[in-house]
Amino acid sequence: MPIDKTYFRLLTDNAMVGVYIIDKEQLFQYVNPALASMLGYRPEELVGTVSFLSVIHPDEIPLLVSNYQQRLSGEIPHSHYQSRALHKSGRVVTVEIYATSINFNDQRSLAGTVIDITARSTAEELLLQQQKALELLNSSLEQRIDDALAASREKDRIVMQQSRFAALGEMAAGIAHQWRQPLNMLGLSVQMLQLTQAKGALTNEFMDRHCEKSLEILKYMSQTIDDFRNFFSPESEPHYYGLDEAVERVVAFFTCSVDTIAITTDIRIRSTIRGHVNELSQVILTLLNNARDALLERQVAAPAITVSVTGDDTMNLIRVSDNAGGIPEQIIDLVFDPFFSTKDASRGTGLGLYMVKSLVEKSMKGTVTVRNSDAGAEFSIMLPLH
Amino acid sequence: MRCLIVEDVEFEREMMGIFLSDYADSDSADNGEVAVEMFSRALAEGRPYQLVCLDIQMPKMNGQEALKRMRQAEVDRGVSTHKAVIIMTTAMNAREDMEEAIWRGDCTDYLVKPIILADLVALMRRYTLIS
Repeated sequence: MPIDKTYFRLLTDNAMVGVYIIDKEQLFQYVNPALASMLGYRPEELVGTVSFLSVIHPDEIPLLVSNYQQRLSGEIPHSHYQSRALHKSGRVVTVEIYATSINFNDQRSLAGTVIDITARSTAEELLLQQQKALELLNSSLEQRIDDALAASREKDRIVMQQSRFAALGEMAAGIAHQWRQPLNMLGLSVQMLQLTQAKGALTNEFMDRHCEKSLEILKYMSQTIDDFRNFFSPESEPHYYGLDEAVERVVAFFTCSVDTIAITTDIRIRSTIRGHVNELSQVILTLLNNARDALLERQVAAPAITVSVTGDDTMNLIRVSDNAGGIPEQIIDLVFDPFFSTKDASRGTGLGLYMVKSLVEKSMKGTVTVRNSDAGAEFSIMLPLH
Repeated sequence: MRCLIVEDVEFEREMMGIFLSDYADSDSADNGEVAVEMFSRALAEGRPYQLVCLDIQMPKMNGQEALKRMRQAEVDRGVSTHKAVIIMTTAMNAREDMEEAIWRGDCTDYLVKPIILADLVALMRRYTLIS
């Protein structure tokens, strides 16, 4: 049953999408209210007098004219595409068009429907822009991370270098300290030999004793150089070493330089670990030096340092404690920070405990903590066995 | 002249003792505490030490503390002139500390180890302990 044309008219006049018919003269023969309003006109302003090209964006005209002709000639029955129209106000309206050829009043004409997709395409464009911005941000973020990483690595390198200089300085000071005493003994011995000989009182016994003493001192001084070199020369390859032995060696080495502090070692286990023994030496020596500085600065009546080594099946625990009264609670959390020091600039670099933490955590895969006991500070180094 | 050698290393104490025996009656102490006690007793007994060679780094009581107490002992005894010549001997590179102690009037002079005995003789001469 044929449907009355008025129904179609009713449908198109009230359609939510734009509907048009264009004749072969390129003039609108029908424009529904939705399309007219999409373009800012009333339907009667467009129908019969206006070429559809006048509501098309100039850039789109060649494509639309070609489409128009191809469909009019029947080359292409219908087409579906996106284009840009012009609103009466001059604003660009992005549209999606579905066009087909029809017979209208016995003339080959074009009819089509139009949807305003400006909002959608604006949103799409915005999304695209945002995506591009995001990509840009991502790539620049990568660059920024790289830059930050490089800066951080550079800072680490400088810190390492400074700590090396500090270690060298301490080494030089250590040798100076370790040597002045024996040098003094040697000096006195030589001068006494000369004076005694000048007085004609030089006996064989006196001579023997001084030679023996001098050789003993020379041997000690030579040993000191080896000790220092062993402590500070870097090892490239990790190797196995006895933890208890290594700790005892550092303590013995340290004890040479302090004669006013009672140093106790309490070693409960025999344990072999793999790593760089010099790093462990540096860690323990730093803790011992700090304890010594605190004890001397605070003029503790009976200064004492205890080094203990204990452990179980899973870990070794090295404790270095003193009786210097402890670290003030307000700074105890800061002591491992780089460049934090309570000593004046000529004595403290603020790198000692930072290096301790770095070496223990990064190289030995252990942890280092500090707390105050009743008597003083207590540093604990936990080294996992595996 | 009476002289007190304060030094914790036995060999050094002995050598200094032998050397100074040509110039003085010398006693020795191996730490600051004993030295202060000997110094104070000598003052009290009216036979004070004219020269003290005082090491800085020592167990129990270090040289700096001993120096302060010796000077205090002199003040307590009312000694204002003819104070003891106290020469600090140090293995530390502590020239600044020493200069400050001289400036304060506590120590008379100092020698950095290794000690050259001729320098010690020169100091004794400078402070008119020997001619």
